[in-house]
Amino acid sequence: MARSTGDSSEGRIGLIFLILLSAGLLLLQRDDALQRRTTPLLADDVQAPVAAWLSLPFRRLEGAIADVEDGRKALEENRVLRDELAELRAENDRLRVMRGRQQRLEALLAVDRTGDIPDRRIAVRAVSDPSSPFVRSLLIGAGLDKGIVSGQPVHSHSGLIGHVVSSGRRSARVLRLDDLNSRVAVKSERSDARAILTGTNRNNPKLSFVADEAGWQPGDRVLTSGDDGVMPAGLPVGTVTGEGGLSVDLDFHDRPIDWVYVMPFASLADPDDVDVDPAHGDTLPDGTDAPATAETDASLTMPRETG
Amino acid sequence: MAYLGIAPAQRNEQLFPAGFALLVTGLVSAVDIRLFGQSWPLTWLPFAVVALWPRNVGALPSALLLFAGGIWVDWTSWGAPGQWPLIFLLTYAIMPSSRSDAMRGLAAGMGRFVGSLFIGVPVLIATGWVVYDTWPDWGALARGLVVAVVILPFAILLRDRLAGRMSGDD
Repeated sequence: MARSTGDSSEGRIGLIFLILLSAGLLLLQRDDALQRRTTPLLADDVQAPVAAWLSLPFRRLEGAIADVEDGRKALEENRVLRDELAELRAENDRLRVMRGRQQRLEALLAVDRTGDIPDRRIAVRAVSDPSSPFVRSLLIGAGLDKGIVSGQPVHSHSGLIGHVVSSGRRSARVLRLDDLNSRVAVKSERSDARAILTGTNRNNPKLSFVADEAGWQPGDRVLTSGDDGVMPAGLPVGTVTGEGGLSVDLDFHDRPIDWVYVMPFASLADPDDVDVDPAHGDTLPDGTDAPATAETDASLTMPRETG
Repeated sequence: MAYLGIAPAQRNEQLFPAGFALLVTGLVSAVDIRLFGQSWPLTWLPFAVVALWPRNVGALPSALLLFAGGIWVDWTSWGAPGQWPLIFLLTYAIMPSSRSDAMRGLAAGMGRFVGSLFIGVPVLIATGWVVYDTWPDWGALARGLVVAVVILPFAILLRDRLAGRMSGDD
């Protein structure tokens, strides 16, 4: 160690001890780091307001650049949008009729809508979304004070960003879809083929556990499938690209993230948390007995076919 | 180096602005700039503070501050605890020391930062490999370095001006 001034044997020993301590900490906390469970919520709560204030000039600069880009494309987009509007009006009328029919049928069949996209959304300002060499996260400026808890999906104007993994009093951390640790069940809108969207710490996460290779083609729209019980089904994620196998061009990369929406979606219970004792009947995750079986609960009873 | 058994005077009061700079840049490191459709992270700003760390100060208080600062940066950047302290401390330990007057000026500061990167970047990559079992996002790494190199001259000029105003020396 080439140190000449301000040096002492205690200093050297202290320096070596702290280097070894850092290395030990790194190895001991490896699993927690992989699970993104290492940052104290207090640090986020301190950081969020300060970072929001510091990032204000950057956000304004980004907004100005985006406005210039939008302005340049405005005329062309206006023409396309007018055509789309005419088509969508007719489509909207059809959808209204279908929605009414669907609601009547769902009421008739007592359909469970647990996995649906919730109607309520919580609008929150994004504080920062840095893409560092090993971490892709998003810090948002609201937490438990607005009812935001771990597991809730977060999306922007463009598409799904990820889900909340830790929630402090006034801030929350979001694990982005492109983070190394992100795994989300998805499906192809065209073919309904299923896969897991796996973050790679690059801009384009890949599709893994693909059961039906033919069901995925470049250009396919990717939606959440809801199979993981963590996300509601049908949230737009991105478009399949053919680069380097099956990867996905994420929708939320289209624009800078300014405001985001958190969905107060209650994820399904983890099967591991459910204590099922065949001798004494089903038990719910909170320890209470299951209310009824399919035979006795009217809401679960299918209508009998007649004639 | 001590001359005739007389050690040069340590100026530990310089650790206060250095520690404060580490605290602030740790907060700023969580912010990014989105330009040309890419995220330009400010991840390397705390490292720039370490590269320009005052040298005629006590090694032990410096090491303690760098360790605490590294943990702070790990928290704010959501990284693995121990990664940034290791990078900071190894850079501080390995980088050859120089007298404070030799460190002054834009060219010397930039040279020192670039030299420190030859230690910091490999340590980041190696520790990242150990923890995450993958290579870093090279694009994000490069963009972070570009941002630091662009911002650093202003930081060096500001530091030299403030240092000159506060002490008339460094």
